[in-house]
Amino acid sequence: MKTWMIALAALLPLAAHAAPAPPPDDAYAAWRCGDGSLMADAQADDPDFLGDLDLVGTDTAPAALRAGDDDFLYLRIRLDADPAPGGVPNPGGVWGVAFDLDGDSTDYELLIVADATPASPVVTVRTNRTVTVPNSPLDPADAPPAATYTFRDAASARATSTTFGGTPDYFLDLAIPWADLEPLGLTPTSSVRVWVASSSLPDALDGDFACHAAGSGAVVLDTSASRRGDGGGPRLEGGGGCRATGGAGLLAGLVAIALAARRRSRRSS
Amino acid sequence: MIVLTCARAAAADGLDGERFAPSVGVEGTFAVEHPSVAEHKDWGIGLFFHVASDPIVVRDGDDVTRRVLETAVTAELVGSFGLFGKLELGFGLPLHLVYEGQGFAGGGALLAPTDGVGDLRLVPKLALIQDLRPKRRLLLSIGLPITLPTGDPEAARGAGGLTAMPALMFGYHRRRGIGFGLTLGYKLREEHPTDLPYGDAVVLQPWIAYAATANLTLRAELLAEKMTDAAVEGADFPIELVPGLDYRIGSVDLFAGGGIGLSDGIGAPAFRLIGGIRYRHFRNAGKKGGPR
Repeated sequence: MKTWMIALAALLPLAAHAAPAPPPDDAYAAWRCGDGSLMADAQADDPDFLGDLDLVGTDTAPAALRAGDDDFLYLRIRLDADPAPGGVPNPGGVWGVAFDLDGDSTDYELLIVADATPASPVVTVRTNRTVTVPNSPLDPADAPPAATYTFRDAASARATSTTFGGTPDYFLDLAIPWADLEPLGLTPTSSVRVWVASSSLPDALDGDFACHAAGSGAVVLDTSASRRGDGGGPRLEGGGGCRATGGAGLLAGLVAIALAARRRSRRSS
Repeated sequence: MIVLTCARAAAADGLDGERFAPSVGVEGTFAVEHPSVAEHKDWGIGLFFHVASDPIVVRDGDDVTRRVLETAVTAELVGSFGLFGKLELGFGLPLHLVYEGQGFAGGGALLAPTDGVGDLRLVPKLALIQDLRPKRRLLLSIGLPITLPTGDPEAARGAGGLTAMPALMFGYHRRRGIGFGLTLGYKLREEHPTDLPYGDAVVLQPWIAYAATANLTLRAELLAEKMTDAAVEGADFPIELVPGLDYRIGSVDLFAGGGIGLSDGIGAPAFRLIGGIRYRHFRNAGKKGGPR
């Protein structure tokens, strides 16, 4: 009975929030590697992490993206195979994103993973307040998780239009309530670096990393971190762009004035 | 507590939210520096007023959720002086009379707009080609506009350090007809805020001019700047179209125009209104001649 109560308590956070409404594909923005290129990863670059554990992507079909709305952060990872056929994740699979929130890219402060290692797959949010393995993604995050959701509530998978390796690729989508992230330091306007990878561990990333060629040696956090980006929600911009209105009339008016003046000048001459 | 407060303030990142800077040379343009240079000891001086709406916002999807820098009303004094017929030295000093908005704080970035002076600009320009004929003018110059950090980046009115922009300026005019040109430069910024999409940039500024009458010229300038190494991805490609009119009365040019932000890059406003006046003192008026 006590075990059941603990399990229920751990799953309560999601029940307190509205259901996620994943945004359309064009609302997602790709993360960028440290060199500024869109986050990419070669198919089958890590022989230990193939299929649904193999991140894939190019600069035209990025491997990892994010979006946000008022209530949720949405994370998206492109994989070489379906990570959750029929909505049930393949046992043992872990996919996630680690966040650098403090500007020191030799460690991470937050880890969000879809974890199919337990019998009942979950999505967890963990802090990492104590660094035990410096500058390594193997540094284990804190236990217990700061928030836990059922896989069904917080994750989903669907086929994409890409076919790296000749087989259909899939998006794994995660949705995490901002209300649970903001107390941990991740807000829609946070400036963050990230690492996106698959894993065999529920509390660290040790699999196929985006922005890292598996044959180039072990992953080092500060050399494989993404470029800084926002948390995926509202962002700082200029007020212009196609969503601004009112400028076209100004241009048309000036042209009309000029043409009228020229006509008048010709008549007078 | 005082020490902590000061340390935090000094560590915050900011930027210059006002990207429109009137040209300083004697030739009448709005913001793109014209390749022509003044004759020896000729000079010009001008005063521009411009009002920008929403140069910096926080947007969530299509919705503006925060007007970080909502209204910027700026007066800018510009001037230039010709030397040896080949060299022109100019300056521009912006004074932001109204500079207000809801501000922004995120990560290590702080933007809290307040009225005050912006970054002082110094613009040396050297003519490489001045092919001046009665029916056309072909001009090519190099310039090195620099700005000094006289503005406050945390008030969104300063780059926070020196900037320099090596630039190549080209222009071609036909008598009573079309003129066009291009300024191509690379802006080097001493400070690259770690939490803002602001860094070195490729600057591309094409322009066209159409002499509707002997006194009235229609102008359109495109002010584009693509950051190349900003520490933060994001709205790093501001593009603004500046159309307007220039009416000449003797040695005075009157300017009226507007600006339209074509992209969502920081500093590209929803719209801008521009008015200005330039006085040009030519010791030997008409010597350079040629079409406007």
